[in-house]
Amino acid sequence: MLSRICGVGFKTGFRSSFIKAYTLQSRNTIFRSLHSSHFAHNQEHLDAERSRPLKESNSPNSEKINEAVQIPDLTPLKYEQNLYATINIHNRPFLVTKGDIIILPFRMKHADIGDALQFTDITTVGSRNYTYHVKEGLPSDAVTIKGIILEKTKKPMYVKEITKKRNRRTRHVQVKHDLTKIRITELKLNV
Amino acid sequence: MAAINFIQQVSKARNGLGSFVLPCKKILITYCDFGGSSVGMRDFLRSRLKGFASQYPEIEFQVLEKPGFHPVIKGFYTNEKSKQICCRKWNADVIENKLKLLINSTGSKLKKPKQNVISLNSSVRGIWSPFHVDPSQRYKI
Repeated sequence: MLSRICGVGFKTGFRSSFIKAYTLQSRNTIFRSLHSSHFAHNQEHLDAERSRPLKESNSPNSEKINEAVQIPDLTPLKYEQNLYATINIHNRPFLVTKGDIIILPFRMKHADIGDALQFTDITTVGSRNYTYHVKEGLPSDAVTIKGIILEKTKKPMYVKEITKKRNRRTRHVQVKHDLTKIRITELKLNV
Repeated sequence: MAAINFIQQVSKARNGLGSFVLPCKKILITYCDFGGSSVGMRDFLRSRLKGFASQYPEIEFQVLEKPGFHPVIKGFYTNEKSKQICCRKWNADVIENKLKLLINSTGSKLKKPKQNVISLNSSVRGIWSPFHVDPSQRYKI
């Protein structure tokens, strides 16, 4: 079906993949102490979350495989001042430094704004002169990358024209896609 | 002794790095005690508001009677902007969802993002320069 979009569209496969890119950590600040959401914030529940088969299904980035890989000597990287990392969120790469904002094209249903996230699917950590890159994902204890959800907004509304070739009838649909903004609060080597 | 000339710098606010401040600081709810469009809003105020507001202790909730007008919820943000949503003829569930929408926002205007990552830091690996390339990789005319 041909659809002339009056703006940039996003592939529908994005939302259907499992959430394996991040695990949730609650911020036990005053801000969140009275919050009672459907998603429990205590640590026991989070550990149970991680062992659920849904998250550790046949994904190449499951923690079992990562722990078996030896971490090489990262001392040159350790002494570098500025670090960047390439994290994958639902297999989409984001090159990120500390303090950056990531804009994700979906509404994060499992976390509210102010909640902390930890990114587990990391492909690269590097500096100006050195790079540590593992295609399947770095070992989970090599790097710590954390973020915090800033905002859940939307893109401005646009009108999408849906039509077919050689058909004069055009259907107009109003579209207002979701966005989630996450700030990277921590990016550090655990070496 | 020469005076030291300093370049004054303003700190760039990056919410979330040090501590996270919820952008929505106040929500003003106006309703009418008589009008039919305020039925859902009245129901929300009677039964849901107290529990909802206790989840967000950082936000000031102000309820104002405005007779003869449709019910409106208005959010005030730290960037001195406000967002309002008219809740006429909506039930309590919809009003709660719209309040969550206000709370999840920063108040700034909706923008289509050009890049997925916004950064104040300069690039880590530096900008490519033809003069700093390995001699074996230099471009040969």
